[in-house]
Amino acid sequence: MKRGLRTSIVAASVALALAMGGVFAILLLSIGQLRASGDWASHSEQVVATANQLEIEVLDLETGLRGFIITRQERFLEPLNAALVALPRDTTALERLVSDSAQQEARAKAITGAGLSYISQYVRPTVAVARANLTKATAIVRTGAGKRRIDAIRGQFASFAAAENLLLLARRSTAHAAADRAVAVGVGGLIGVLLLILLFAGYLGRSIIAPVRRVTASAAQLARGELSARALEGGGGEVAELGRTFNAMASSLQESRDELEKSQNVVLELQAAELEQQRTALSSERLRFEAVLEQMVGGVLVAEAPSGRILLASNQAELILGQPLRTELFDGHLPSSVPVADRHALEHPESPLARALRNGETTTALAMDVSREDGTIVSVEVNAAPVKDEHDRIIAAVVTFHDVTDRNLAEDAIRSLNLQLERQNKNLEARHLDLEAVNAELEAANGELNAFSYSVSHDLRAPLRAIDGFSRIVLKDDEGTLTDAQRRYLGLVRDNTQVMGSLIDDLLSFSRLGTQALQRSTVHTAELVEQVESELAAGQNGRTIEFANGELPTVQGDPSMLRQVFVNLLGNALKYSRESEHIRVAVSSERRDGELVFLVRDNGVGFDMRYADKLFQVFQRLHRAEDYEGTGVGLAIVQRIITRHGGRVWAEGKPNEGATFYFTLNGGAP
Amino acid sequence: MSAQTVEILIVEDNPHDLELAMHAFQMHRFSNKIDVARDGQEALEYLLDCNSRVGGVLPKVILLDLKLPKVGGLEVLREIRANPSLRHLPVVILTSSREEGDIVKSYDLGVNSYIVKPVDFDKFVETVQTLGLYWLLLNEPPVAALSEPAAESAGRNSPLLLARIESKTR
Repeated sequence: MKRGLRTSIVAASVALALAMGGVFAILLLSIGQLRASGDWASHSEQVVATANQLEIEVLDLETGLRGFIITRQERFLEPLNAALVALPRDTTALERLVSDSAQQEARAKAITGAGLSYISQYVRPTVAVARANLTKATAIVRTGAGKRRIDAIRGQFASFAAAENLLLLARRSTAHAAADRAVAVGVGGLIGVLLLILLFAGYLGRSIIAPVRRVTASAAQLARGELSARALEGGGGEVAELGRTFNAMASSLQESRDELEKSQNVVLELQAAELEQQRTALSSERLRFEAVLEQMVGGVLVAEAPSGRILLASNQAELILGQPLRTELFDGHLPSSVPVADRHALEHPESPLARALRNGETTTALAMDVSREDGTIVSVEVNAAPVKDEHDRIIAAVVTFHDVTDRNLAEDAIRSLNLQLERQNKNLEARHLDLEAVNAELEAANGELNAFSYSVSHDLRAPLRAIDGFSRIVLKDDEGTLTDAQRRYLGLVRDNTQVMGSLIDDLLSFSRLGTQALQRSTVHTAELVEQVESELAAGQNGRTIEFANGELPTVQGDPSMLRQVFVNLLGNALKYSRESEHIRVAVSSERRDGELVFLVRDNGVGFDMRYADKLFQVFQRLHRAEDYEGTGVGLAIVQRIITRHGGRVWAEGKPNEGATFYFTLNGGAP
Repeated sequence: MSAQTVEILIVEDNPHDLELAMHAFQMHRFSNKIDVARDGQEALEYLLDCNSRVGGVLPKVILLDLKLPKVGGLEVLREIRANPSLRHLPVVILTSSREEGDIVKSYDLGVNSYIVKPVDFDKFVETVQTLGLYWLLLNEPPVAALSEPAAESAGRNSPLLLARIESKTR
């Protein structure tokens, strides 16, 4: 049924109304007919009555005439005269009354005609005759003409009345039939309407009430929480729609509840997990707290307010006070008469604990002496503070204290030590002042030394250049005026200026080594040695030299200084080997007693070990200047660099059997 | 460019060193193109004077000693580099000092070359010859680069420079 419920109900209502209207119309029509037939009956009675009146009037005419003729008295004429007046009027009325029926109207007109002709042709002439001649009038009556006429009229009246009666009868039966029909129609219509109402009620019940009741029942189920309840989707139109909507609503409700339950379950699980976590956290918190409590150097007491009952006491607290504390010490009252140096000092009314409990006072680092049960006295430093709830009421107090007996003793010792230290400090300060003065002197001396070096570097060379330059010019410009000896001397002058120049350079670099800061970095000695060797080999005028290097490590040191070390040692090795047929120089390293030692070995002229201590001194030479050139600074420079690196340098050799120079870089015995 | 055009300015206070240097230049026929300043102040005045002359030409190179009376060689170098009209001038430090500090400072101030005077006169002559050949013949002087900013800024900067020099000499 796709039609809307509203449309169906409206259509059914309209059909019902039309049916009832039809029945009522038919009933009204029947009642009208009934009343009309009633009217016709009374009409007929009126017609009969008027006809009777007319008959009487006609009879009055006859009797009046007869009486007058017999008596000759005028008074008998009165009814006749009245009838004469009334008769025409009443005939007209009768005619009008029966105008609905052509036959009766014809009969009425016949009666009227007969009556009028009786009056005009018999009554009036007879009356007139009677007045004049009674006999004659009697004769006329004797003829019976009048009587015949009257009889005829009366016959007419009788047939008229009979016809009228027949008419009335017919009309009555028509009215009865109409009434019967009306009753039948009314009853039938009523039954039809009742049937329709029943049908409609059935329809309403089937398509609305039952589904709505089902929805209601399901809604009640829903309300009870049975979310699986569903309405059967019956009925039509809006009701079916209602069922579907209800079911959709129930489904969504169920889904929501399922979801809610699910999320509730999740929340519950989370809460449970959280609770578990909190429980674990709490218990580990408690363990931590207890561990902290027991690890604390001092003792901790927690007492309840206002009773002062000990809620918590750490092991340390018991150790320091020398008695068990984890039971109730006193019962609801703070002892009032306790001397200061007593084990109950902490609970004394004026004790930090009592003040914290009573007044919420905080005590910080209060020194007290407490006597233990065994009679010994312990010095403690006490801190106390109240614990308050959210309404700022004091609920407990925490007291911490630690044994300062040892500390006090130590403090005494420290005090005396301090005094000593102060005295020493004063001495040191005096010495420091001296040192500062010395330092300033040293700095000044160092500055002077630098200025001196600079001056030497710059100014000592200038005269040398002049000596050499002008000697050279003299030699160059000589046009035979100089003797050979003079030329040789000038040559010697020049040679010596060269030596002087080298001396100045070497001295300057030697003195710089004393002040120059070490720039330490990683040095690959293998690479460094190779570089130096190739540079030196380049200046050897084609002599072949065998460089035999061993393992060379990576070290920490000043690269340019270490380079200088190898330049000087290898330079020396080459210089003192130049007489050898086959020059062989070897650089290597080895471990000696856990120490890294570098070796530079040559097969040159060697030296006498008796003079080994002079090797590294400035300007000390083991060979004559004309044999081997040099200033005697090279090995002094090597020693200074090695010393500055925290190492040592030494040498071994024999005359004509070569020499070996050793050095370490980080100090320590070889 | 006439023969009289100065190509080298030697700043040297030691008369013997100067004589030797001139001798060396003479040997290579550079002497008629050389002017001499005997201290730092004189050198700076010379250069500024040279610069302010209309069409004045700067020397091709300055040979500058470090240890000088009044204004030192490093100060002269600093002034030259600070003056927009002089800053492109090639400056060669020619000194006895082999001090690392001097070498580093000179290069920091923008020196073009640093030469240590050899004690050996033959080597000195050789050095002078190399210097002359290099700076006078091989090197392309910074003429183009000096053209406009030099003329424009010389007048503006010289009083300030001179004032500074005066205050140093008091």
